[in-house]
Formats: sequence, structure tokens, C-alpha cells
Amino acid sequence: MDDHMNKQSRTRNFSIIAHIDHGKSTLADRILEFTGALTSREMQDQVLDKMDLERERGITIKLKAVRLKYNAKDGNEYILHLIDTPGHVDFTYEVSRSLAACEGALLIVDAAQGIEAQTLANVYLALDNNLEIIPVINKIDLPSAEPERVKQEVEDVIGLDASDAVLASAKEAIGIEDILEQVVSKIPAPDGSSDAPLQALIFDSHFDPYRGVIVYARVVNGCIKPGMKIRMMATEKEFEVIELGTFTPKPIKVDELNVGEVGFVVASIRNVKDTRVGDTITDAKRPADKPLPGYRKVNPMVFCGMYPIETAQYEDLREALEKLELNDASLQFEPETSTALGFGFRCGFLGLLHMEIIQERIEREFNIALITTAPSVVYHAYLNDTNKTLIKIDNPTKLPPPDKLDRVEEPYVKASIMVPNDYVGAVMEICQNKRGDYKDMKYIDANRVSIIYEVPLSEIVYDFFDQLKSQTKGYASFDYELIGYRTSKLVKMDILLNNEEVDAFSLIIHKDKAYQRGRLLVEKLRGIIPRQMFEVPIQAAIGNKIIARETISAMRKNVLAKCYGGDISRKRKLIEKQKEGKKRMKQVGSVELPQEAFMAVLQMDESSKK
Amino acid sequence: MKITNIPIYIHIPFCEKKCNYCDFPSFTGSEQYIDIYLDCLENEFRELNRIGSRIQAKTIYIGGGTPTMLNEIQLKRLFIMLHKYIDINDIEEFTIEMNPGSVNNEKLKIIKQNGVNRISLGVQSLNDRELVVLGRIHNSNDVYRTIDLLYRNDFNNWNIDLMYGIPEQTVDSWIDTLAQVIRLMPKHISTYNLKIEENTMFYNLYQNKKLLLPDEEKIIKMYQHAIDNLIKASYKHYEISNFCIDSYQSKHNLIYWNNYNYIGIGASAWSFIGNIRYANPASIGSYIETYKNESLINSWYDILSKKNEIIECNLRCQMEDYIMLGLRKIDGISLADYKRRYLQSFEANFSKQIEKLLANNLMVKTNRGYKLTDKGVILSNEVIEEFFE
Repeated sequence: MDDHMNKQSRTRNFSIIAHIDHGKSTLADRILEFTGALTSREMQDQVLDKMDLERERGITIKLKAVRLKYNAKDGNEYILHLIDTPGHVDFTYEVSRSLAACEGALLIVDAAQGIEAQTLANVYLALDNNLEIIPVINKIDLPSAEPERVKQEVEDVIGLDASDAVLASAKEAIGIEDILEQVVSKIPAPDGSSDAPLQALIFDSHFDPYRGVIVYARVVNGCIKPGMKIRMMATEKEFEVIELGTFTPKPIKVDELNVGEVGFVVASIRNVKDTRVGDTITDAKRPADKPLPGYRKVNPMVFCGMYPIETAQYEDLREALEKLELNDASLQFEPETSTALGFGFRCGFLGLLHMEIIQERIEREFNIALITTAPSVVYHAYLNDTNKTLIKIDNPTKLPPPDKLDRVEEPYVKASIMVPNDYVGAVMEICQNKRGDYKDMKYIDANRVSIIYEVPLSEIVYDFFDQLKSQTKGYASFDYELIGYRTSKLVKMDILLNNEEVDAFSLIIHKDKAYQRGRLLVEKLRGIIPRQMFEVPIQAAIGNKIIARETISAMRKNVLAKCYGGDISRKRKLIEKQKEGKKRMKQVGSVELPQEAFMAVLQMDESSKK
Repeated sequence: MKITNIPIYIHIPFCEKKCNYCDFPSFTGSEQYIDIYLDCLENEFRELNRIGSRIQAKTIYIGGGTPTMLNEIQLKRLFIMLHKYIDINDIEEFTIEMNPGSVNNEKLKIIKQNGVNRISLGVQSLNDRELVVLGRIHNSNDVYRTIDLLYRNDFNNWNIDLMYGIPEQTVDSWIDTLAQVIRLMPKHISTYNLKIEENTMFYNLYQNKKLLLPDEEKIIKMYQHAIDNLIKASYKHYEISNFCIDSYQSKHNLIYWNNYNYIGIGASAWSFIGNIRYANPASIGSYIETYKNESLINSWYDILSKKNEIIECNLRCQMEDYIMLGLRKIDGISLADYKRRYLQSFEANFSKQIEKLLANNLMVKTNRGYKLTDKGVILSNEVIEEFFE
């Protein structure tokens, strides 16, 4: 027992919070290297980011936990659990749960760029979880580094004492030992009792084809042992523990996971949906009175239709989604049919990035060419019947006609934007254009401003990010959280091609913006859709009223004048190339549409109209 | 083994000057290689003779480049070679290409004496300004002078190649060129729509938006004028770009369009033997490298090992080629011929495509098979694509 108490007192659980690009992954690598978990030769750069896609996009999608041994200057050996967190607003809840599994966090701030909106959002999450925060000013090797200014910013903006902030350069391996010393001295050891009934917090899971779901958990009270019957308190599913282990970062089997420890649990679990992030694992025979606080079921915020270009790949697409779902509890999908696109799935995502990642993985890993309809949020439509029945609309085509509607509500978010003060005007203009309501503006320091707006989520989903990036030359950082539903003047806009409505193009839009968007959309489509054998009118309509129209003139001529002597293959190649191009098109009614046409609804640069 | 009734193409890849639109395998400033090139042609003929002890030609077509870049001695040598290695006693058509201005009476006499019975003249335009734009080495007067020589040497079967869609060309200047050509009474006229190909002078200008090409509507008009005016002048429109008097179709080209076998000799020339298509090395240098030594090989496999691109055409591919080429003929394709060639029914193989094309007024049924409509002709690539897998 003493031995155990001793071990508990020398355990430290911590995360790293940072803005994208501020050097989190590099720092994690350096810590692993310094503690000897991996030799530098063994290290493929940035080991914590496993998936190719993550590395390419420079973001971490799945959290992981590593156990490290550190011989501190006080002469004791400490066990450190470093829990990695995803770095994108789409995954805020997952971040909050991995923070909840820690007692402390390293706050990485770029010595040149200072605090960003996302950093701030994550700091607040950490403070909500009562974490001890250790500021680290990273990238001090950069010529543009201003560590003193950034320190001051940490104090002014976050209200943290930054006098002890470590000045580091993960790239140059400067300051790593100082960081580890502060982890040991400042972050408290985990409390909790190993005798109490088991409570372990799930902060991640992933599916392994050989062993089923692997659950990442932090034991808050009690102890898990192999053979134990465990219960997931929210889903009420029960399993028998087969194996326990930790990552060093290589997986190592252990005999128990005791209070304060972080590791993985294998228990013949087939479905990641049974191991929800934030849920509490308890002992089925001696259950805890109540689960750990903070669990909530994460609901997708953004929906879109996904359809295979080749109709025959529908089943392949289902299999791909099922495989991805094994590893992604927040991905939702159900079959739907579109008159334009045939059989496909309506899929729900945490946010746009999540959507793009899934889309890319389906195309890349499963080789299915996809058409994705414009993303939509979930609208609340209230019917004008006696009960004012609520219908949740995740697909614009499902919006009832206006005469059946009492009102429509849409989700709003609180958008926090940080930007150098030169761009305040630009940001405000974007927010106004996006139907935002001004809430607050604060100067962080002499040069930087934090701006708060309440904006409809649908506008964020549309092209808010892109506009913000382009209008502020990439200097703005941005974070948002859902704040509820509000009534708006919303209408359904349809697109007609060759006088036939193409359901996949329908969108729900604010009445005042419909005309402009309709105009833009038909113009854009005219540019994208190649000429067909006949004239194709493109129309935007609200109900029966046409609000915009363009025409694609018929293809007049496509003939090869000369058939070069005996070089038949040259002509063949030409026809084959033409055929290849067509194969990437989707036949909708009588019109052949390229894949990009469906994304046109999303990607429109309104600013180019000015 | 005897190879009988075969069309033979011989490529002469030399030119005095590269035309601005030309992406053909033709080379300038390489005259010093003509003799060694002829040696190589001879080696290739010999090699062919090791496989086919007797090669009896149905048609011969000497193309280029500019075959008349060869001087009198070289021309004679080429013909002696042909007579030595190929049986041309029953030849139905023997064509040589020439450019106005690159031929004299002496050369024409040699050509005539050696059995050539058809001349193809690269005229392109009779508007001198357009000839300059194209980068041709001749003017309209050279054309008349050459045609006078043809008459004097008793050639009565000759073709004029014309081009429309030339930069700065107007519909009127095209009508004018057509009218002048009709007055010259050639037995055969080809009208090609200028296409901007990569790796040409025009391509660069086009990329830099410095090429004033007539727009699509004008080009369609030009094509329509060619059809109307030539038909009015008693020419028969028998292939998308080809017209002739009476039965003066190009027999050699018709063999291509009927998807039969042929042999190509010389740099970059394509052959189609059995179900295999292959090309010779494309540049003069690589061709000379391949054929400078006399070959000792004695099988088709060995021959193929020297070729550049070898394409095996399966049954489906052959059917597609047959349709692709057949529909270029104005009379279209014959169901009976298709059946005879592929032992299958065209209508059963392509029922869906046929239905769609008939419905869109791109193809019509004839008493022997199917042909393109007028609309189908100018959209023929779209039609052909339907039949591709």
C-alpha cells in the first residue's frame, strides 16, 4: 500500500495546449526524446500524430497518451502521462475530456505570434477543469521572437503568472528539462483512492481490427485489473477486461491500472459507440454511486449528403463509412436518396474539418469517388399545427413548404476572433455580412484585438473561415461555441437545371441573402458545367419564383478534322481522354455535372463581387 | 510467307521549313541525312522481306514531311528500292505528297515514270496573306505553276489539301479559296479545320493570346460552305473532311477508315498488322539508330522488339476503332460488314448507344447500317465517345 501511495505521489498527468503551428507536436517529440522513451533515431518525426492525413494537415485528430519515466533533479523517478489533445475547434469536447484526465497542462505560446483565439479557448477549458497551467514560450530561436512581450500578454489576457514561464525552442531542444522540472514541481499528484469503487474517465478510443476497441482511460478512483467485469455508466454496456497497458509509446502490458494512472483497456468491445468519450468506466460488481462529471453525448453540428459517383459503389461507401465509424464515435450516417444523385448517405459531423477529413479518407483510403452536397446545419422547423410540432431538418430538401410553417430556427454560435488591430474593420465587415450580432471587442495589447460576435452557424459553415483567412492575410484566429437556436427569416432556395429541380443543390438561406446568393450560384454553375448537346438553363428559385437565371449554350462542334495517316491511336487517345472526363461526371436528369458543381454551392467568393 | 493486297505508307520526314501549325514528325535542316535515311528505309524493307518473301502492295502512299525535298537522284533511288522490295504490278493507287514550290518538271517526270498515279498537294489556302500566317514556303502563284506542271506530265488524279480556321481568316476569304480551287478541277479535295497542337509555333502564340482565331460559329459556317459549295460543284462528300469527283476517293485512306491492316515504313510510321498496332522510332536520329545496320532477324517478334509503341487491340478495341473510323465516312457503317468482321451484331452490341444517338438526332439508320446526321458530323467526337468503354 505504501508502495502504491508512493507511486501515486510521483505520478503527473498533463496535456499540452497550443494553437495549430505553435509547436505542440515538436515539443511532444522532444519530451519523449529527453526522457529516453524514444531515441532520436527511432523517432520518426512527430510520433504522436499517427495518421498520414494528420501529418499532412498538421493537426492531431485522435488523442493519445504516453507514459514516460523522468528522473527529476530531486533524485526521484517520476511517472509522467502525457495526454495529447486535438487541435481544432471541431473537437472541443474531446479536448475538454482529455484535459479532465489531467491535473496540469503546458500552455504553449508562440514567441512571435502570441496568444491566438484557439489557445485562449483551450486555456479556458483547462481552467474549467481546475488544471495547473505552466506557460511555455516556444520558438524563442526565431529572429522575430518577443518572449517578454508574449509573457506580458499571457499575464494580461489570461491572468496567469508568467514570471516562471519557460523560454523554450522545441525545434532546437532548448528548455525541455526546465519544462519537465516544472511539471514535477508545479502539477499536483493525482488524488483519489485506490480502495474506492472504480471510476475511470474515457478520453479516447480507437478500433483495432484484431483486439476490438481500445479504450484510453484515466483511473480517477479504484483500480482496474484483467478479468474484471466493467460497466460503461452512460451506455450501460458491460464487458470483461482482457488486457491493460500503457504506451511508452510502444504498447506495454500491465497487471493493473491503479488510481491516478492513464492507460488503455481492451475488453472485446466491438463498437466505439459503446465507449463514448467522457463516459465513466466502473466495476460492474461494485459500481460507483455516480459517474464522473462532464459527460455529454456529442451531437453532429454539420450535415451533408455523400454519394458515390459510380452508383455501383453505394455498398462500398456504406462499408467505408462503417469502417470509419468503428474509429469515430461522432460520425453519424444514415441512408438517403436523392432524385439527382441516387442512393447515398446523410452524414453528420462535428464540424467542417471533420467533414473534410472523412471525405478525404473515403476517397483516399477506400478509393471511392464522392459527390458531397453542400453542408447544412440542423434547422428547427415548427409547423403551424396546433401543437407547433418541431421537425429537425438536417437536409434542406426536407423543409416543409412555407404555408405549413410557423417559424424556422437556426443554430447560433458565439464566434471569438483575435486579430491585429489593422484588420478590425475587415473582420467586422465579414461578421456583418454573415448576419452576425456584435457583442464585444477588447484590446489584448496595443496591437491585438479580441472580437466577439454571435453568428448563425450556417454562415460559419459556408465560407466564413476562408473569408476570414483571406481578408486578414491569415492573421486572424478563430474559435466558436454553440449558444442555441434563434428564429430567422429562412427560405429554401432550389436550383433548376434544364427546368428540373436538382435536390442536391437545394439550400436553406436567409431571405435577404437569397437573391444575391442565387445570382452568384447560377453564375458559378454556368462556369463549371460544361456545354451539353443542348441548351441548359440554370435557374435559382424560391418556391415558384425564379430569382436568377443563366444559360449554358449548346455544344456546337466537337470534331477532329484530320485523321492522321495511320496514327489511329492518337485519335483513340483523344476520345478516351474525353470519355475519362465524362466518367467523372454525374448524370443528373439529362445533364452531366462535374463533381465540383456540387461543391460550388459551398465555395463562393462573395467578396469577389465587390 | 506472302503479304498480299497490303497498303504501304512511306514517311519522308524532311522539310525546308516547319509550318507554324505543324506537329507532324518532320524536321528541317537535316538534308545531309537524306542519303543515310534512304539506306535505313532500304534496311527496313529488307527486314520486312525476311518475313514476307513477297509483299504485294494494294496502295502506296509516300507522305511527309515533304517527299519532294529529295533531289532527283534520291527520288530515283527511293523508287528503285520500292520496285525491288515490293511487288507493285497490281497496284490500285500510288500517291505521293508534294508542296507547291518544292517540285520541278524533272522530279515530276521521275515520279510519273515510276508508276505514281496520284498526287496530293499541300495547298492550304490560295490567299497569300493566310499562307504567310501559316508559315508556308509557297504563295498562290506557286500553286498554279505546280498544277500546270501536273497537267503537262499527264497527272489527272490529284488532291488539294485545304485548311480553314486559319488565324485572321474570314468566311469570305475561305469561300474565295474554295471557288478558286473548284476552278482548278482537282479530283479530290480535303478540307481540314486547323487545330492548335502543342509544341507548335501557333501553340505558343495561342497560349499568349496572340492568335486571332475565327470563333466557333464562323468555323462551323466555313465547314458548311465547304460542304455546300463543293457539292454544288459536283464533288461527293465521302468523309468528314474529304470530297471527290466520281469514284476518285483516296483508296489508301479508305483502307485506314475501314480499319484494315497496313504497313508503315520510315520514321514515326505506324503499322497495323493482325490486331497489333506499332510505330517506328519517331525522330530521324532514333530511326537511323534503329535501322542503320542490316537486320538479321526473322520473326515478327523480332520486328516488334524494335518498335516504339506496341498496342495490342482486343476485339472490343477493334470494334471501337471500326466505329470511330467508320462513322467518319459519310455513308457510315455497314451492318453486314460489321457482322462479317466481328461475327457479332452491331445493333445488339450497342443497342443503348444507338437508341440514345437516334433520339438526339446525331445518327440515322440507312438501308445498310448507320450514319451520322449533319449535326452528328460536327459533333462526331461526342458520338464516337458513346461507343467507347
